[in-house]
Amino acid sequence: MNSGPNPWKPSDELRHMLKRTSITPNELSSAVFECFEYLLGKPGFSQVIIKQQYKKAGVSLETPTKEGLRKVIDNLEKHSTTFQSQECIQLSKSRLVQFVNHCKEQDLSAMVDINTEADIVTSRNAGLEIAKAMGFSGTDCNKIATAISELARNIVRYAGKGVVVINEARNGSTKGIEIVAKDWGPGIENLDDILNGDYQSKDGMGMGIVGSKRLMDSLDIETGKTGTTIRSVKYLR
Amino acid sequence: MESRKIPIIKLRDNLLVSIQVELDDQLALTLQDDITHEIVKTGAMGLILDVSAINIMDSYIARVINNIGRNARIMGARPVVVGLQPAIAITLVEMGMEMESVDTALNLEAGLELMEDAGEDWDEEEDEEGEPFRDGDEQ
Repeated sequence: MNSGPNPWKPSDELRHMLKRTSITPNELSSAVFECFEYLLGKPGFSQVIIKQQYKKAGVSLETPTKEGLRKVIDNLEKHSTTFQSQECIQLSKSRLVQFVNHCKEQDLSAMVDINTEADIVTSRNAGLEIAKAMGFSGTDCNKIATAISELARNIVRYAGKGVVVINEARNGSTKGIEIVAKDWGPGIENLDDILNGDYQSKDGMGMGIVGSKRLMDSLDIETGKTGTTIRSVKYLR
Repeated sequence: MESRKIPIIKLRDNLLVSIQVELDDQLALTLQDDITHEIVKTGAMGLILDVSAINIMDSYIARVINNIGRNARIMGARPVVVGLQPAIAITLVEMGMEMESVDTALNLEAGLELMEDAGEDWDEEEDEEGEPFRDGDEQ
C-alpha cells in the first residue's frame, strides 16, 4: 500500500503564493486540497474524503477559516496513515504548515460610526478594502466605495448621526457585499421624488440615494420618523 | 485643528493644482475658494487640476470639481481636469454625473499640451487671416 516515500511538493503556483507575505484562507484551502489529494491517492476518491472532513469540521468550502482548516488538516493526517508512510506524511505536513503560518484571516466586515465628514472617508476606505478582499474587480470596488460614500454623506448631512455596517452577503451560492446605512434622524419625507430623480437638494443634486442604487445591485429603504435604514447589496459576477 | 491646504502652483500662464491628499468636504470647499482667489491674483489663463491621486470620487466631490471649473471659467481661466482614473470615470457615468464644466485630458502632459494648443490655435487663426492667398488661388 505504501506508494513510496516521496512526500508532497507544492505546485509552482502554490510555491509562488508562499513568496507573498500572507495568503488568504481560500488560498490555504487550495493548498490543503493539493496536499491531501496527493497523500490520499486517487483524485476523485480523495476529493470526496477531503470534502467530508470539511463538512465534519464545519468548514465551508467557499469561505473557510484558518482555524477550521487546522482541524481539517489534523483529521486528514490521521486518514492518510492508511495510504502513506508516517515519514512521508510528516514531511508533507511540514510543507503544508508553512502555508498555514502564512495564512491571515481577513475580516470581511466593518462597522463605522458616522458622526463627522472624516467618518465618510473611514467608511468608504473600509468598504474598499473589504470589496477588494472579496474579489471584486477594481471598477466594482470603486463603485461600492462610492456608494458607501454617498450613503455615509447623507447620514452626516441629514441625520447627523448614524452607522455604516459592511458585511458579506449571500444569495444561494452567489457571494456579495452588503452595506447597511442606519441613522436615527428625522427620516426621508420625499422618498418617492428622490427615487424618481425628481428631487434636487439646495446645494446638490439629490444624487446620493439614486446614485448608490445605480452603482449597486439592489437598494432598499426603510424610513420613518425615528430613523432610516438603507440596505444595499452588490454581488460578485 | 491645523489648517490643511492644497498648494496652488503658478506655471507660466496656468495654475497647477495637484490633489494628493484625501479630499474631505471641508478641504474641498477651502480649495474651491483658494483657487478662485488665486486666479484673480495671478490672472491665470488656465487651471489644471490633477486628480490622479484621488481614488474615490463621490457625487459631492465631483460637484465641487464642477463648481471649481465654473468659477474658473467665470474668472477667465480655462479649467482642465487631468489624470481621472478609469474606475472613477466609469463610476461617475454610471451614477449619472458628468464633468460638464471642465475640459479633461488624460494626464498632466496632455493637459499642458491642450493649453499650449489652445494658444497656438489662436496664433494660427491670426496667421491665416493675414495670408493673402489660398492654395487654390495660386494656380
